[in-house]
Amino acid sequence: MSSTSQKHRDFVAEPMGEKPVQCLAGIGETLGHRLEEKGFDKAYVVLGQFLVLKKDEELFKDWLKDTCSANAKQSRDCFGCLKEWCDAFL
Amino acid sequence: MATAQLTDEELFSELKRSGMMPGPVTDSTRPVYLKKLKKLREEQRLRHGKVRVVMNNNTVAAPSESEGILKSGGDVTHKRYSRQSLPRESGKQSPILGFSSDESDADAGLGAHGSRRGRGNTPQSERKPVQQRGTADGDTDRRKVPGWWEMRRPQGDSEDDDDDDDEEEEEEAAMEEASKCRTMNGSRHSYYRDYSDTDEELGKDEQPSRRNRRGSSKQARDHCMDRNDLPSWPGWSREVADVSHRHRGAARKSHTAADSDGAGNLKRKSNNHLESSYNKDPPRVYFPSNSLPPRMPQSNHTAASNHNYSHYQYQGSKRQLNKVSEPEEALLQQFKREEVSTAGGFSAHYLSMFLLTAACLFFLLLGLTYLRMRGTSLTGEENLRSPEDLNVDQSTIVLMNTLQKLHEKLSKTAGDYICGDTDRRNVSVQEASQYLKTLGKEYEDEFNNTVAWILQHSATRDVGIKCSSDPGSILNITSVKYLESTLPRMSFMCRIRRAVITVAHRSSIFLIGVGVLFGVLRYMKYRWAKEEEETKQMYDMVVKIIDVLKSHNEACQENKDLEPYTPIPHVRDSLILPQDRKKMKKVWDRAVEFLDANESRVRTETQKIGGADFQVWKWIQPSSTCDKISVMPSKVWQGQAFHLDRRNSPPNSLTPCLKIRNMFDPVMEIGDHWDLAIQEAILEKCSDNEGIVHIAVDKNSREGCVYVKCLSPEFAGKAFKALHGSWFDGKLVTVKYLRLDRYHHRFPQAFTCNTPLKPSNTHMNSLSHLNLRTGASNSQSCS
Repeated sequence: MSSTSQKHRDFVAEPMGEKPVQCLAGIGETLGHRLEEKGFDKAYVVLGQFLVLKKDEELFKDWLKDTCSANAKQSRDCFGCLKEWCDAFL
Repeated sequence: MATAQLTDEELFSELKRSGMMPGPVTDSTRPVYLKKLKKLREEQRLRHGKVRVVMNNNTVAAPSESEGILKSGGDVTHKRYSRQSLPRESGKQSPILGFSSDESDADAGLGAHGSRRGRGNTPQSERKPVQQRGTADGDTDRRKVPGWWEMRRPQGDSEDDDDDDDEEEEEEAAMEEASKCRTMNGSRHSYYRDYSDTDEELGKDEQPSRRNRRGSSKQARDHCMDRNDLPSWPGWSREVADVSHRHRGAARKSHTAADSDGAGNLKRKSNNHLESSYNKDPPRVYFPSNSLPPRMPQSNHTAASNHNYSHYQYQGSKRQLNKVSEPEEALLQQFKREEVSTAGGFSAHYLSMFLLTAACLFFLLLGLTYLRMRGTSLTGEENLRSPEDLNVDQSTIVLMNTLQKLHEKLSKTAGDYICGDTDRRNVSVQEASQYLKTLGKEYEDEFNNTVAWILQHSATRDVGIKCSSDPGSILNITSVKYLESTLPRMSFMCRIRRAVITVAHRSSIFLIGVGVLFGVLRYMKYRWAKEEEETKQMYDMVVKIIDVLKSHNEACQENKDLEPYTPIPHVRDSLILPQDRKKMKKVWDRAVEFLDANESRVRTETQKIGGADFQVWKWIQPSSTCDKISVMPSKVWQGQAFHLDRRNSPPNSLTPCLKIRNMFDPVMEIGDHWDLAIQEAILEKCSDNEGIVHIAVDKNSREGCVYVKCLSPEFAGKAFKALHGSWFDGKLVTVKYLRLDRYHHRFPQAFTCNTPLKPSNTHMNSLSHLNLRTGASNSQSCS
């Protein structure tokens, strides 16, 4: 975790508003599509899940793996991005 | 099914019990939590395994988790336990844990590997379900201890009661020592709490926990200076009291069906646990800071001998335990099923391989059976056929027998011949009669008749024996020289050998065929590829030739001295390197052929050059000028229209913003990025200007407007001078100053722009034309 991606910085820089789920770091086209299919079409829906899981890293990553078969890096990125967003805006 | 069985509340309480603080269980979080729970279970089981190993090394151990049997666990304790003790699975912790795991193993049926202590305990407690604590204690102690306890304290072996007393003394001594160097380091009590938890919930781990404490106090004495190992007892008891309260609360919450009896039982249990955890220790050590109500009497610990499992059940909590363990069972079943399903997947992975092997074996067997049946059926058929034919007449019974014997002999000979055992396939008449003679007189006498019969019948059908004579002579009874079986009988091994050889032979033929086919295919492919490559080379060559001819033609037009034709060999020699000429001859010939046939712009003539006739090519298409026009570059600066002076430009810069007109005609522009090209052209024209921060091309404007913002009015003035009155792309560019607020109103995004823009490359494409034609004007305009 030496540096964060541009996507991560972009996401963390501002309130997420109505951003689509693809704006989350670690969530690309494919994962975004899978998440949308499961009803997680907006970044804030994923945030909701993240909060419901009490910001628990392990659980959230597990959930992401189960839901859209994200790999370790993707889920870590997504978690890090949501976590940082929460630290900044919540 | 199991997920349906496990309601959200149950899952929630399960998770709590397993030592974590779950969030709300919803449809979306449910699978995650189920997984987590499973993981926790597995972790615990794993630790059991570890602890068991440790225990076999005769160390004192007692993990308290008891794989989730802790139905009515104190949530706080568990939570802390899991947080604190998880990272310390090895090292100090595991030696202290271990006994209760043993027993809970036996209890949960996991103890495939249960130690003798656990085994010893359970039957005994079943035998004496209601037993006073002292006796049971002593008994079990004696039973359980022998492995390590006696070794450590041989003097405790003499008397049962002594054992306990000694232990107490030891404990007390340990306590005193411990209190000397004890610490209030609360976080280190986790494992004491742990097994006290186990005690409380199982009511059967009390005994081991006591021993653990003994062990630990021993340890405490051993490493008195190791503060981390030392429990602070008051803290512990407080914790235990806490646990008992919470425990009751949890029980009420999660098992609403539990009646007051059950609750009371629970309460008693917790009390028991409390006192049993340190029953023999003087209260003054433990109770000073104990918030436990006084209704927990000392006598309780003698009455409630719930230190073994069966006893615990006899106390009336059986019903509750069962109830409690129902969802537990469901959950465990669920996990088990999952495990089974993974095992199924594993076997499914091998199923295909197995099927393949089975199929192979089946076909092998089939082949062998076929082999066998073929041999037997044919010989059997033959054996049957001969008697049938011969039985017609009773008088020929001897003849039939002879025939049969003869046939056997002959077919054997033929079989041997095929198998390579003998040299000849047939048997001479003399040999046959000799053979028959050995069998008996009557056979020998019948021999001639038999041969006659064979001759008679073999004309109409196959009787299995063929007679043959010397070549040329007529076949009759006197001239028959050899007898031969048409149905050779071979031994089984021989048949197999022949079958294998046949199969090998045929398969080799097949393989060779396949190989040949493959080779042919490869060759064809190679040929095709080569052909294709040659065609490509030929077209390349044609293009090159046309280029050469074209350029030669152009050169001829400019320089009238040159001949308007080119000798073909000359073209070839200029196009193909000397070392390639041989190789490329075919290509070249094809190219020449192609040009002759298909190229209308080239005419082949015969010309006399230097006294010799040469085939020459002549480019006959007039050079078109339209080609050149299309080559004219666009988006370039074409020079200055007029010199700037006071009359046509403001003397000083007014604002930092410029509006440039006539840069383009939007109707004429094609492509997506023409505006970028214009930006680029402006930046290149103002390449010595460091102050341009924003350029906007108004793509829809009829006038071809471009807006430019500079850092300061000075920079804008410089840009004004560079751009105003220049020809760009055939248009005269004019520049005006624009007010800054108007600019920002129009381009709000320009408000924050303050990094100077630079041309994206250093080629200055838009200026190259200018530099070539009017190299001076550029510097002039910039001055």
